[in-house]
Amino acid sequence: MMNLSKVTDKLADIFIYTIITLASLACLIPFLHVAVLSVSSNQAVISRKVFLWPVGFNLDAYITVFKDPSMIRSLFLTVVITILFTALGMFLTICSAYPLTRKRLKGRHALTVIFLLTMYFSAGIIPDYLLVYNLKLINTIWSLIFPLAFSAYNMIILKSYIENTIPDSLEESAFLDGCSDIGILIKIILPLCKPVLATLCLFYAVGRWNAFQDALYYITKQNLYPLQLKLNMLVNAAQDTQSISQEINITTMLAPEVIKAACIMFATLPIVIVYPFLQKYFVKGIMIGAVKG
Amino acid sequence: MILYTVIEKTNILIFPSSQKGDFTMANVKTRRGILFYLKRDWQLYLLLLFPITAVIIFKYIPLSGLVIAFKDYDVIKGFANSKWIGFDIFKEIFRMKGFYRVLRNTLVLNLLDLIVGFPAPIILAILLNEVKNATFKKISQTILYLPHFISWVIIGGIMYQLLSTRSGMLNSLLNKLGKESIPFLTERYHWVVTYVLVGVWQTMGWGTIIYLAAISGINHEYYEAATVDGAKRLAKIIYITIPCIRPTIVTLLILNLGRIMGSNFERVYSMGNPIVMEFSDVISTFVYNVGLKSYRYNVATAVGMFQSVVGFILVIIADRVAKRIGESGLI
Amino acid sequence: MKSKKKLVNILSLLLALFMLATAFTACTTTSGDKGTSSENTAPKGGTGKVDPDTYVYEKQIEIKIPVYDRGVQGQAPVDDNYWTRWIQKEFGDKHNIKVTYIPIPRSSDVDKFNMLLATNDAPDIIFSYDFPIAMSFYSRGAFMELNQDMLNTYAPDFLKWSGDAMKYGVIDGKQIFLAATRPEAYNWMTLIRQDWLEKAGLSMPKSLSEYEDALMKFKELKLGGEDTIPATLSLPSAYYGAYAYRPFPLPEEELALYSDINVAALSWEPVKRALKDQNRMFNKGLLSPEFALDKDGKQAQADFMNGKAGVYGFYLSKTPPVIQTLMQNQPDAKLAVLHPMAGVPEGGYPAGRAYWPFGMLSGIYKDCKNPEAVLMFFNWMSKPDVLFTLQNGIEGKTYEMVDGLPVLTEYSGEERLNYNSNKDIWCLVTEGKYFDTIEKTLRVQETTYAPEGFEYLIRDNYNYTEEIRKYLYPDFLFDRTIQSVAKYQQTLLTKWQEIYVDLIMCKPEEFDAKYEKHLQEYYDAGYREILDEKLKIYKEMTNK
Repeated sequence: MMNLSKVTDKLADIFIYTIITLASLACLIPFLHVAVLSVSSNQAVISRKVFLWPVGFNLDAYITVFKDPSMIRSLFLTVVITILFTALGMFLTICSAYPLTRKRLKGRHALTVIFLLTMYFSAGIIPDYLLVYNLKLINTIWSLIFPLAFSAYNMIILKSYIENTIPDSLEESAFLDGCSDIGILIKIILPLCKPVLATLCLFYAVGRWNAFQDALYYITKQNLYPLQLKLNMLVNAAQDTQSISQEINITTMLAPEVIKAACIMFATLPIVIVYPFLQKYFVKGIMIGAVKG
Repeated sequence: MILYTVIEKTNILIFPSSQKGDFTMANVKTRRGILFYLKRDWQLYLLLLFPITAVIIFKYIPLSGLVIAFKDYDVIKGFANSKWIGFDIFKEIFRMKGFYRVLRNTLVLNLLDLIVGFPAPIILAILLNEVKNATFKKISQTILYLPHFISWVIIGGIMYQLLSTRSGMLNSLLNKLGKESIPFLTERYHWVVTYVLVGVWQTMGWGTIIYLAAISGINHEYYEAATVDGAKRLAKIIYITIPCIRPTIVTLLILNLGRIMGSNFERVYSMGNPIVMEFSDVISTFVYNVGLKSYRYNVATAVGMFQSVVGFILVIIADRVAKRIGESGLI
Repeated sequence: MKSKKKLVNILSLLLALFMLATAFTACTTTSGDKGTSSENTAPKGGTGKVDPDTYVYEKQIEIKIPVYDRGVQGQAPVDDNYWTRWIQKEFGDKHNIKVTYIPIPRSSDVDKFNMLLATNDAPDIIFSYDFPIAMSFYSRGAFMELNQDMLNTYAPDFLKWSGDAMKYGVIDGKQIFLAATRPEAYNWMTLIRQDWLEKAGLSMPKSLSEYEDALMKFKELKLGGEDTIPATLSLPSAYYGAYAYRPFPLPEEELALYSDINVAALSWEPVKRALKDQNRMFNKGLLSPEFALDKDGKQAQADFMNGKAGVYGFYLSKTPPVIQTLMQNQPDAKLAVLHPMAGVPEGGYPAGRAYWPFGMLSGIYKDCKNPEAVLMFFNWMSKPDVLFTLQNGIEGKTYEMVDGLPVLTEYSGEERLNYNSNKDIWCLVTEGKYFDTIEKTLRVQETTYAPEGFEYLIRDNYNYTEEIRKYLYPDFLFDRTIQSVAKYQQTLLTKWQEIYVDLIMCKPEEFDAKYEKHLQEYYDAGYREILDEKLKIYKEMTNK
């Protein structure tokens, strides 16, 4: 009896490891492809000879990118913006999610709906631009931080998590101990929400890091361009040759493909590295002072 | 026997009682003034002040721009001076022959995404949770969410190199093995399958994050109690893990339902081509062509409004349904 | 714990105050802050008395000039680099004008202009290469009229420079646009693999049937390997001229209705015949089999560079290194310009599109405070010595004089020229470089566009162009906006691509039925409206 269960256990393990390995390989391919492109010779790349193995290995593209001070500056700027954005976003999310989980709060449902509406309704680029312009935030990093800081989606996730995993009895005992609302939030709720908080941090950080559509219109000073915007302009510069115009074209492509690939790696790696650091918050948590029965 | 206890314990946690402190006299129907509530819960309201201000300024004030959808809007004239045309734009859009194809495609593709793509990260998360080797787990997790960082423009290019009928790597391989090429991208129905599968592939790793977070919040004691009672691995998954993350699943499902009228422009644009246009023309490409690229902002706004209204209504309905079946829902 | 809570409270309070403060700013600022009605800083003393070359403003004024930002990696910021500073020094400081450049992302330029217009913060000029777009700005009232006196006073040199091109800037009888000139460029060419022709024992094809025979031979002999692509094909834009199939000379009404780079003329008989021929060629395997997936032409380019393709059309240039790569992959390759008659069917003419003689069209923003300063700017830039410096840079550094002609070097110091020889700066006045003899022009184009050893391609292309010069004609220019084109252009483009793919790839016997069906769809998608409006406007224009 015992041996059989051990065998099935092992089989299950093999099954699980295989599936995950296959999935991982599938996910690794595009990244590997871009990485390989970035260290190949440009001519091999545009002849479409490169797929998963470098042809004409060289690091010239990276040297060019790193020598470009605007890239480095943009990197630091983007890091700063991302950190500020995540901090503000988390703050707003916590401030909105927690009170809405308290059933005694008057206006709770109405407020939730008010927040939820913002997730679905938007008037488009022109009104958004007008607002940022009127707030005099154009060409400042704040235009990339304030408008999108609050995410109703993230708030719902946090709210649901609190409602579903933290029993009210904990709150009750805390009140009996003389704790205030904010105190409960800080001392009890937040420590128990570590996995979800870490997740939301990641969502905010990655969301801000990858987005560039707002920067495209709000930022015109080149030394304030976030990294993804530079990248997008670089990669998409050639795309719009769909129409013939009176403009005399000298080239149909602006940047060698290898440079594009190197920039993609440059812009992606930093954020990819963030996750392992947040990993420790995803370890199985233990309920502090759990309620018995 | 154990299973019953476990489920009971879970239920208690998921459906907690709901009164604060000593105000449990639910039957006492006293009407208190606003000041009473403000005084009692002032800290909560203070906390709420920040997000509410942010939302009013950055979301609701621009919403006044929705009026564009009802006007013959021109940027130079501005909101106030553009002529009011009421629902004319909406009428024009709904009369367009291409619009219904667009609606059909959007709904079908999104439903397929939901059916195939929604369970994938859940299953993957559960599998990952079962991995005992910490290093393997860490590495595979990091690799799995890499596709999320690659923009669709690049994925589109890679897909063509991989899947194109004549020169794609996959088909070359098939040919070498003596099989015929499969038109992954050049035949409509094949394209739909490719589109959905590539979408799953791009998002499944990233999607596991939230489920893993939920799983890591499950009390160890349940698993220990179940082991003591002799439960096997699969049983633990079915009776502990899944029920415990059910609220998360439902929440995400409702949120995703609200996006059924939307579509990711970059994804469709990069993966689509004129051959499969019959199925690849969706709302976001419609807005791009008819609204944005023609600089008819009122069309873009009107379609956006349509999407928002449908999405929001769906979310409310889904929320009601969720409450019916015992979940706490979103609102 | 108490102190932590206090800290949190203080921080929150500060944040709240900050947010409230910004909220107040929002309430008190109104868009359209045009309270500062133009305190007239314009030069006083009636027309004809001001010298645009030397006038100095008493109080410094500012002009805002847009400049394309193409996101070129490694370039200095487009709004602040050696050359913008040079302009400030040479022009701005001399007139007490501050020249501010406003970067406009090239890929979303119209949106950006629209946003600037929405906030009443537009630059002093709005420009576009695209005639319908420039017209659309005009029809929405973005521009002021330029009266002749002003032009004569402040921009006499520019007027002389622009010459004929300026008449294209006249809309509804008013001079609206400042038109840049457009010299002829010979870098768009279709190349054929000369070595393949030799291997097949053929001479340069001079008719459509000879051309098809050559392509068939390429395929039979597998000159490019197993999957030879005799001629490349990519997804077309709306520009499908079918020039070789048109009657010559072309009646003006047909020219007005059907010859349009923005809308494919699906209903026109020459277009139908051209499509049918292409369908035939495709079914014989003579064209890129996966052209439908090639949205940006990169696959065609790769096929040519790998030596798979026999015929390829493109803009000759040094980067990307198309020809250089081809020579690396196929050292025995020989290239020649395809003869202009090669695509011409029986009874056809080697007709082609002549570009309109203007380049960039700039209109002055209606609320511009100092239009005369803008005119002086254009005037200054059109002076030959100024233009020469902007286009070539500094002798000894960015260019060398070779045989009396400037040849650009690979200089990378601070004074290096921006993208494409500073083009985005001087595009306001011209699209290219002018020289007094055609010989000089050709030589400069050779050094600019052609990789080493292939300069003859430019010359051959020029010679062919001159041979067919009499068959080249420009499109009809409507002097007012065609609303339906602006409205349906984009949707028709995607529809056209969908239809094109189906018509080319279907079996020849299916062609006629599919053509009729698709034509109906095309009409319904807005094409009918466009034709009707064009006809109406054409009749109005010619009956005046």
